[in-house]
Amino acid sequence: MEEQEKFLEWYAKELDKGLVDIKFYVGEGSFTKNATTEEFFREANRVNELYAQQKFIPRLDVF
Amino acid sequence: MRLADVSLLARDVHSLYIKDCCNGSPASLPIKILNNGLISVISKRTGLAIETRCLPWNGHMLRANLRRYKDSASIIYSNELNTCWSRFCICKEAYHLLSDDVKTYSTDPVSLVNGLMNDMPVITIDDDIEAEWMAVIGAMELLIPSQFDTYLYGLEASGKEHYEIALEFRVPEKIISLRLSPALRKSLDQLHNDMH
Repeated sequence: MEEQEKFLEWYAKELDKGLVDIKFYVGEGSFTKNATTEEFFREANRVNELYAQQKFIPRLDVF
Repeated sequence: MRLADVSLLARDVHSLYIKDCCNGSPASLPIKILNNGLISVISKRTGLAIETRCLPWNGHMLRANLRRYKDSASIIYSNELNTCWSRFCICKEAYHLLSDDVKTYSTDPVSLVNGLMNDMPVITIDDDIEAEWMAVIGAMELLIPSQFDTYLYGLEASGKEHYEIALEFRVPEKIISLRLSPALRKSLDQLHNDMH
């Protein structure tokens, strides 16, 4: 549960910063039958890291 | 929130969009969401500073993520999403900001993820399920406003494929198929007629 714990640590810090709601959009076909919550939280943690590093992609096609 | 409330809320936002983003002129397609578009209207209406960020994560599970704080919100979406799905995801998450209240806030991420993985959208409380579905309809109503109903149905009647119609509105083809499905079309038509 390493990834889940890591995510929950991040979540607790965000609560202190005023986070009141979080939602995930997964879309169709996101989960294979072997998918695990650890894999999901690994992906969520990667998103958090990229956000913290401000690895933002300019999307001029999204208007 | 009922379907009628979703449509009414979308209509109110669209009125503000015409006023603020189109200088009072009729809206043209596609509806803008960024750069003086729907997000700025929703920001004004909710009082939240809303940022939208695209990030390049290599994953196949998570497509977008909403984080709502007391005075601000972040909508994060994957660089893997195409233009239409990006626009739709942003609108769907923004619709949560418009319509959700404390009762529908998700405060237990582990339960939330377990629910998602068990093939139920969100299982923490029943209100969450309704909020998720209503956000899909809400985003649809924002990107395909009722004032374009006649145009939408005309495109379909002229034999255009759903994909071609989707390109006009810059929304995912699946959303056009959902909007034109007989059951939803009947419900929304009745609501839109009642509103006019």
